[in-house]
Amino acid sequence: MQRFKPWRAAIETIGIVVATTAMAWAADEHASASTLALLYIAAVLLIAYRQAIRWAIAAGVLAVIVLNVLFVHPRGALRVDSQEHGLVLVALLAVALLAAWLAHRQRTFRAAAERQSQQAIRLSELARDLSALSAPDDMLPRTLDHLRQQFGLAAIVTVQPEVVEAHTAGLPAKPLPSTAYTLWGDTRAGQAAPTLDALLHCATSAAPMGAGTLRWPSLKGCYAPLRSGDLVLGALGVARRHAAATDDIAALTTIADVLTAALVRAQHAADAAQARASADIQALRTTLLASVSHDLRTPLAAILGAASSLVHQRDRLTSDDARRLAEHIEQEARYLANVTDNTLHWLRLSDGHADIHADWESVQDLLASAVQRFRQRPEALHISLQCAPDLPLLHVDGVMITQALSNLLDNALKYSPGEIGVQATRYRDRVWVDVTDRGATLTAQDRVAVCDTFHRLPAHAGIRGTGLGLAIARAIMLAHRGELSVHAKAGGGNLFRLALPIPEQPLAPPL
Amino acid sequence: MTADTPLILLVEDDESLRDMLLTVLHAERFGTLHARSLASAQAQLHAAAQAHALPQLVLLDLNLPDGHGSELFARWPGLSALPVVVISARNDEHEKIALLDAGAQDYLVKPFGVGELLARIRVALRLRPIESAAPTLPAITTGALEIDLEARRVSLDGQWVKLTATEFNILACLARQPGRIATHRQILSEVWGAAFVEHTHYLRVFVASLRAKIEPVPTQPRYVMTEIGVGYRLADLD
Repeated sequence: MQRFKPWRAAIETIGIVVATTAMAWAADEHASASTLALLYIAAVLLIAYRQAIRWAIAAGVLAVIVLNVLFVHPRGALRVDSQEHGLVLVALLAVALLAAWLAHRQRTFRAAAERQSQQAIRLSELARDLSALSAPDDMLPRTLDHLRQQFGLAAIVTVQPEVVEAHTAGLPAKPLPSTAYTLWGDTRAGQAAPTLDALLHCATSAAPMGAGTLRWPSLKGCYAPLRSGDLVLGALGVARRHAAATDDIAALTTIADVLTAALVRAQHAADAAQARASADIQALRTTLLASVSHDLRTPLAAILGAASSLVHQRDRLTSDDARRLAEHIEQEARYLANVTDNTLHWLRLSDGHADIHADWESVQDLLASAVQRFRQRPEALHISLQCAPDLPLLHVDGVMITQALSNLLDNALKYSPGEIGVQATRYRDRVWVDVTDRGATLTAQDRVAVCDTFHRLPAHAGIRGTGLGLAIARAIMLAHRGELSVHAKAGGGNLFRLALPIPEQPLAPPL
Repeated sequence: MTADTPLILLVEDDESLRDMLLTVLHAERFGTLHARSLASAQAQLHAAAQAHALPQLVLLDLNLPDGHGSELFARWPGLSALPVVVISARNDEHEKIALLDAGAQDYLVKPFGVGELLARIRVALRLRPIESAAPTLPAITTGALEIDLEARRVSLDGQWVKLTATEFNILACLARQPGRIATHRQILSEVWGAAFVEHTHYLRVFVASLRAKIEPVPTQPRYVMTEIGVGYRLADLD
């Protein structure tokens, strides 16, 4: 739709009338007044097509006056003598008005259709964008952008459903606590902006309101609830834009529906994920409880037995016996301490949000402190340590990585006799820490199975263990975006590999 | 209480652990005071101060019925002048580091053996005179390593070792209190300055180069020991 400035429209209207009058003047000798009226009808049609309705009406009136004054007898006066000429003038005026009205109506329809198709395109873009997003915190700004494009000022409020339920079920007129809602967008930008009060009222009452509706129609804004069935998630509010506020409300309600559907979908997805996770954790906790309680009973039995023997049979024990019993207690208690550490680690890691306190660590420090833990054990003499020079620093939780490495060492010492090797090397963008043993080589199947939580190989039934060590090592690796892998070692034995990503190195210290 | 039987204040709320620790301490001929809460620890310290018989060492559990162990530092400000060994459970990791930064001498993680406990106590007790009155020892010897703090020279097996200034500063920082842990922040702040306490990577680089010069097997250090996630300590080998 062309929108000329008023003075241009006036000039064009007058220009067309003047041009028509000139043509009529030239044809005056050969044509009757009714024929000339046709010229003027054509002029009015042209103006009705090109200009707003008021100029077409003005042109019609002007045409009637000019025709009357210049071409209808008596010329030079605004008077009609013959009945026929009077009819011609009335017909001219009627046709002019009709043409103006039809043109205007057609133009309005076209504009509305254009606007609607544009809105439909934008709405489908919004729906598509929202379906690609999973977090409500991303969906709301996207919707707000859309509303601003279409309406100028816009705001969204999201509310806690249970608060709204309590609010609507309970006594009225109590303000919602500020923790119960989150506000996005413009509510204070100007007078035309939607207001928070109205948004909250729209949400708690779960129905559209404001301009274009029957509820508070005198408001300057339009409001639509984010509602799906009985569930109310919030409300949208915009500054009223179009003359026909019912259009605004209709468009707004559609957008509200699109957003509500997306939010509900996100909520369902989150609920489902949480349900799955909590079922997984529940199952693992049950297994853990069974495994640990079984595993704790044996060392506890040994401790209780040795300790009660020391208490009750003290007089009858040789000092060697007493010493041996006390050593049992110490040894079993250390074992229990290790199981407890591992269990706590595992529980923390399986929570899904492990507390990782990453800092710069050197591989050398990590290896040294893991091996240090085994210093007291006589079999630890068989550990040989090799660390490639100039390994990059890692950005990891040192306590956790040491625990992972200790678990590998503990396993190696427990299940395989002979030399244990620890090698740290760099391979592409990873640091590999390999623990090799000379034990019986695991089958391909077992190499996969040993890393599962609580999985213990039948061949190891005689050796005490919770089946947690490798699972924890793997969980620690995953938490660091690394991995644990098990390989057969050439020449017999197994290789357990911790692979950790090499981060971008920090600025070297000044020398 | 004579001068050569040090007095230890044990703050621990668990009765059987307290009883066990007291038995161990008595067996080692230490004098003991004990408290099961912050309030009673504060009262004990107050009374001891009045009597001019302050304990030479405080063993402080972190989880006490009337508050966190660290609150004792605020309740009784004189505490920071005493060697404090923190007894922590595993999940107190970060509070433990904060306490070390705040001036506690050392820590023990539950569960711990008697050997570990006594070693920590010995280190903490020996440090005390250094910090309070006596001038800094001019030289430290541990194993085959000799560190001359005044001349800024280091020798291993009688051979001079050439260290850079930074390497020496780190070693000196540890050597001033052999056996005692120095946290990352403490070392960084002493060697590079307070603005560098987060630059742990500096420490990793220089400790590696220091170890390459003084450790017979750098991957299995004898002298500069790693306390993973906490700091470093110079091994006290006699």
